[in-house]
Amino acid sequence: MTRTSRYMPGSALRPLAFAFAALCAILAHSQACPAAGSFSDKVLILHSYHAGFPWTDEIQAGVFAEFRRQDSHFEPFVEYLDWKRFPDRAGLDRMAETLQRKYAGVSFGVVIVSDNQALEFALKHRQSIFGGAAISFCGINGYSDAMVEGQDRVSGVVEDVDAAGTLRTALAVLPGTRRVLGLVEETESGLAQKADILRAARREFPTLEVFFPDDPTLEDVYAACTSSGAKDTILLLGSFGRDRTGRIFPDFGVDLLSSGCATPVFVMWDFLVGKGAVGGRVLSGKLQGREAARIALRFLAGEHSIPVTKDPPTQILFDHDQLRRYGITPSLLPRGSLLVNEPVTVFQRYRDLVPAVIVSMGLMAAAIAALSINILARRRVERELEKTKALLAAAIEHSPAGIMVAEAPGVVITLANPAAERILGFSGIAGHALSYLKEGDISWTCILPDGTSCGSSELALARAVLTGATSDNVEMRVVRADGQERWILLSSSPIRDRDENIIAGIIVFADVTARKHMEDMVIQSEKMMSLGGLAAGMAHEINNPLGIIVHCAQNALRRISPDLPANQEAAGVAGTNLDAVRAYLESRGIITYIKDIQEAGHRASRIVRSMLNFSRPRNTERTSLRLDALLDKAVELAQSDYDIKRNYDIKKIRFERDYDPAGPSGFFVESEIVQVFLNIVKNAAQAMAAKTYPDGEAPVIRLSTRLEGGDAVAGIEDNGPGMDERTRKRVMEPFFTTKQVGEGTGLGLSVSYFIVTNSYGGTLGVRSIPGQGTAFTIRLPRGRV
Amino acid sequence: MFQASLLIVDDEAALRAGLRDAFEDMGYRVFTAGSGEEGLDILTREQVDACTVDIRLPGMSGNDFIMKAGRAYPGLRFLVYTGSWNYRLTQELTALGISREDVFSKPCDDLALMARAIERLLARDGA
Repeated sequence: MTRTSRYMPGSALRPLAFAFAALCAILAHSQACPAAGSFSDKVLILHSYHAGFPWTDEIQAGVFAEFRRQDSHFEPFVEYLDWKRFPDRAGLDRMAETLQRKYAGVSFGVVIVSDNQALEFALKHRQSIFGGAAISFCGINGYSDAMVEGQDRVSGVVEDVDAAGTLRTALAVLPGTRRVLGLVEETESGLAQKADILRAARREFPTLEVFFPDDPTLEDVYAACTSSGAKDTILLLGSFGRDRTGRIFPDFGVDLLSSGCATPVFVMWDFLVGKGAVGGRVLSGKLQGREAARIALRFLAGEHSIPVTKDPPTQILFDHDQLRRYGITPSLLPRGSLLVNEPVTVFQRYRDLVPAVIVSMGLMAAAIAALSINILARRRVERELEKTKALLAAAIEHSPAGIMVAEAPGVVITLANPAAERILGFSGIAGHALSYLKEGDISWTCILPDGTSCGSSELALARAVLTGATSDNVEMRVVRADGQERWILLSSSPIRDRDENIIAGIIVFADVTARKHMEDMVIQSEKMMSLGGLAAGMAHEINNPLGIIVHCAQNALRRISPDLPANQEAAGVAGTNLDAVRAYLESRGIITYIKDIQEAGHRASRIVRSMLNFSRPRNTERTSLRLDALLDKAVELAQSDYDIKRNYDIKKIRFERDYDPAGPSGFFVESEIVQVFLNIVKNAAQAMAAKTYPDGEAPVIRLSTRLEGGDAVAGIEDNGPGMDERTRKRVMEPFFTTKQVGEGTGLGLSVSYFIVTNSYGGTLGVRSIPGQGTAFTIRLPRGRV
Repeated sequence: MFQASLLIVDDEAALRAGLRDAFEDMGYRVFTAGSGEEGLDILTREQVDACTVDIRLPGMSGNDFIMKAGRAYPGLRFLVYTGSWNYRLTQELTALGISREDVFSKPCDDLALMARAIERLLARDGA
């Protein structure tokens, strides 16, 4: 930068120049700086040897490389003295004449010369051929300042081998080295190298034994190698272009030496590495060329006095094959070492393909990953599905509601869960057509709310499949094959596929039998409660008029009775006699009327009294009582009851007892429980009187007691005429009676029911089969035990 | 012959009349009153051995009548004849010597039963 600034004449332009120079520097790597211009017609390269000679070609490459950093189109003049093949001074003079003519009109800025012969030529003809141009040299052996005495603008780089550096390098990788076999030719430069090597060894490695065979032949060297013992000896090869016998060795015979000697060969020029040498700190034609070009550029930039580079640039170079041959691990190599013959790794060989391969493998990996994710996702979905299926199956299996599914078109039952089979009282129905229920082995009736029973095609499931009909919470009664009756609450619906075609039908139903019974009982209980309240309020009002009726009727009868003397008297006073009055009254039925009035009053009075039992206050202490004793007492009372004795032959009834020996007991009011039992026994006796028993059968009432779930349970079962369904349902209702008018109040069982359920929180159940008998079950919580 | 006298306290006239006729036929001398107050008034004027008393009365209740009359006339005997089914004797009445056997519910099917109860009360008194 500062170099270019020297060309700027005025200080005012300096900042601009600086900026421009900076720009040049920035652009220097990619393209030539315009200010530097084209160097092509200002530079002549003059080689001592010929094109194709590796050393010369390398120097030229170095020069070109350096110039082309600034001028990519650098294309200088190049001349070869061809001294190796034509070492003829007369030839050089002829060549000088030719060149003088050839370059008469050319004005050179700098002449770059390689090797001694060219420098000598250039200095000799500097004015005549080159117009006094600056000279930059390289590859000069045995340089001394005397060579350029009296010349200005001449500089360059010497070609002094780095003997010390090479020794250092050799000892770094082969530390066990004791001896150095030096090999140089008997020339000026060879001897100079020998002196150099000895000097370096003495200075840096005093214990090292260094010897040079005198002007040897190749065979001498072989012998020396063998005799010296290969182990701790190295061969340091200097210039060895020809031996004593005049044999010429291109590349100083390094290939022959390497294959002929077991001794590792170290060298000081780069072109020998790769041809058999182990390595060394080497000079290189390219580095020489570059250094000469750098100096030439400085001359072109206007510098006049540039010192000669006497320590030429070198580099440490090894041959990988030779390292392996001598067992030298690359880790021993000094920093900055370069390797030739380094095996090319697969990675290096296919470096260009690597990105494509990586990308395609990446894509494949991505595809595999995507597929894996897809498979995993699908597997997860499958697992979810399995789980859902299991949950669904469990839900259906354990549902308290009956679930049935039938498939179109045959209405074939494909699913009936355990609840369905339990409620409807069949099993193993899956796989059958629905009509199997009606027409197959299972006799089965479904009764709709309106009381009609439906055919198999009218069943909700069939209608759902065949017509897509739905129903929602329809209550219906089912009479099962075993005769049991069930109330169910049923919903039905068709199942459609995505095209809305009916593929199946489903019914879901709950067993509401217990609830229905409970409802019946609640209704019953409500009736009782309202009656109880009513009775309590009405009793007093009714009792007064009843009293009047009863008393007046009694008075009337008494006052026509002949037994009362006052009656006779009164008749006499009235001008008649009592007998005539009585005769008249009897003949007109009046006495009967009065008796009927009296009897009706009595009956009404009994009804009211029974009604009042509904709201009997609990003013009586409960005591621990045995059910069997209470049953016996009720039977005893029934047997001695006048009304029963008068109307029904209770003596004919056989009482069987099946009492639990444990004697179930509870805390009860004796009179209440006895009344409950008595009402039932009375009803049984009255009912049985109406039944004609076939021969060999007699009226029997079975009494039983047992403990069940902590409750005391009494059973009263007769083999009387039984009841139909309608009667059974109403039997607890107040004023419901099957007896002749006047025989019963219709309140007995109601009262029993009321006492059991209301006073004790128990249940009073009744089962009956027409023609076979009726069974009452009285279940009483035992209370405080 | 000794003729016992009876006071019937009941607000129902026909019922009063029926009882009166019955007990008169049975040989009692019978007074009737439609309320407790009227009954107390009669007791001040007449010699009465026993009373049949309805409980639900206009004005003074049957219980109050028995309390007052019982205290005023210690020899007087009482039968309760009530249409109220859930009638319960109070402690004061029990203290006056009235027991469950002296309580009759309307309608009494056979007035002879009441007459026997009255005889029992008076016989106890005479004994």
